[in-house]
Amino acid sequence: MHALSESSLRPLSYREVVAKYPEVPHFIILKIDVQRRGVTYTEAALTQADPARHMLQARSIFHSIGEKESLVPISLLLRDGTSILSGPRPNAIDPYVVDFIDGRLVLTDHGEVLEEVEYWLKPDFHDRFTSSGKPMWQVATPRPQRIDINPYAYCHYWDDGKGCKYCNIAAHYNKERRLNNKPLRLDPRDAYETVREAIRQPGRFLTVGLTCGSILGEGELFAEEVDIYIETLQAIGENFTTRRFPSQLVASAFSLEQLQRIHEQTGLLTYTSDIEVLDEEKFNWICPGKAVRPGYREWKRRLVDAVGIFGRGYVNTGIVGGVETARPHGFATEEDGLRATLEEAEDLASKGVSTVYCVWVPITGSVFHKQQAPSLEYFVRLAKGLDSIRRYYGLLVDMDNYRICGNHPDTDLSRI
Amino acid sequence: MSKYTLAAEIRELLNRADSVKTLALLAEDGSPYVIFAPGLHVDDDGRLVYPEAFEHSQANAHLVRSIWFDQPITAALLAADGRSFQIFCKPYKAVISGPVYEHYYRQKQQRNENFSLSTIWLIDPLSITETSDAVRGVESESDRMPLLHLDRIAVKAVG
Ligand code: SF4
Repeated sequence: MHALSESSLRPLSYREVVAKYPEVPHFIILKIDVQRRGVTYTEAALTQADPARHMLQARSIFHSIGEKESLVPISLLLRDGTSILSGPRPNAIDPYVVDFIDGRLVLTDHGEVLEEVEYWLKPDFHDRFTSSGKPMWQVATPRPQRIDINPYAYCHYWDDGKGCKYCNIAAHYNKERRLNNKPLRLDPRDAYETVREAIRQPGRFLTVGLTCGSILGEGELFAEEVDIYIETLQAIGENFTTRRFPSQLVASAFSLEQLQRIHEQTGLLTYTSDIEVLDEEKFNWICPGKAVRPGYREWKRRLVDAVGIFGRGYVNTGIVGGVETARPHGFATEEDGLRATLEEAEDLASKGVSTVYCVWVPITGSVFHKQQAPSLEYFVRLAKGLDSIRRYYGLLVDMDNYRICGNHPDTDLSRI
Repeated sequence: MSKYTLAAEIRELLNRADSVKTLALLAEDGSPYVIFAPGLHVDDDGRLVYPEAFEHSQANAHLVRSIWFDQPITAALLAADGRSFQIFCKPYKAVISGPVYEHYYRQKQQRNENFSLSTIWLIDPLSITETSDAVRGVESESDRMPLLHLDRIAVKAVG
């Protein structure tokens, strides 16, 4: 049971939250709620999805769409440029519905038309092949303006079952390896060739994002993960005339020496290391592997160290917004969850590290798959809180904004 | 397709290089913020198109605020023949990627390698008023008691 709005006996609906928070654009509230509740498509909407134009296939680290089965739109774009990373949610209980009405694709809720939407568009490289014969859409997953590359498809916190409880990476990888022959390791030359092809399309891409599961290794923690990133970033970097290129690494919390090595040996511009849960006790329960190696406080310390290397505004951390209220050991009330999260985010911000959040979706394949995410209002207040903290500390978040990433309601708010 | 249709003549004037065009936006504190917008034009759907060069400019922020919070904006047009018009509008869409964006991106790139392009703003016209003196004078003053300085109707002294 999650805490309810003080003034009512039930969580506020989308319309009620829009009315209560007039300072938050309805686009962003809608984005959050679509992610929370999921989205499906009418037949009429699906006939508008054109395989020649739209993104209907993607092989990402946490989900795949269109590997073999029917093709559905990967994600949505709203009129103001806000992205909704909708992902597949076959078991969503009360999803929004995309329909095609009066010549427009629209998001509807129980028949009420709420907003126009567009499907994400396919980049030119999508249907091409690398020289090794790999379909490029399996090498890189494009967002409207970002090329996502996953050099390694598994997370070794799962080796002894200590992966994060909201995360489906292990289940997803095992399934995709069996069904679709998904490789564990991406060949850096494939990454190089795919990026080379992608950036031939003028005006399409603004950045390259790299992420993979954590690789703990036998000796020095994360050493192998660092090597893989360096090799991949160096290969991708061959495509650019500048030493540094717009890029984001979303990776484990590397030591100072490891960060220095990456910074010196590659053209990486920005660094993200997701702490996931901003409370030590909840973190230890939800992310048991990270809690030991390297531990909550060390994770935070390494983030702060990274600011010294990449600079203020070039380092952030992601949290899985809402997971801190998971049952049974999460915060008992949404109020407590928000307070604790924002306090810790403020501590990080005061040291130059931004916090951004993704909407927690209790996803199939994760330990928490039967849980319930908190209320829409919670997520709106979290977005406002993180945005306000950044403004107070003068921290810019261009590295993870609405067009570079598009998966953080709080950075959507930082757009103006 | 825009719901309100601008007359063909206005569309032509908006697309002419010798017309002066401005956009009046609202700042967060409610004060007006006016920019010259030589790139403002009309597309085949009858929408105004404004390519904004800079992602973090005040103009872009005011346009974002306008689409987010349903605030009006006004385009003003001064034709080479001296006639002027005000077009009341609302932003319809911020195009930040896709074929329309890439079209303007290539166009700008061809003209100047050191270009910037943040957003193609598609703007719905809602209504138009001619603001040339001859027209607005008739409109605003016709039913009112004349504001007429007496010297203008004084009997002129002879010699
Ligand atoms: S570190 Fe946690 S969230 Fe990241 S891939 Fe591993 S299990 Fe998943």
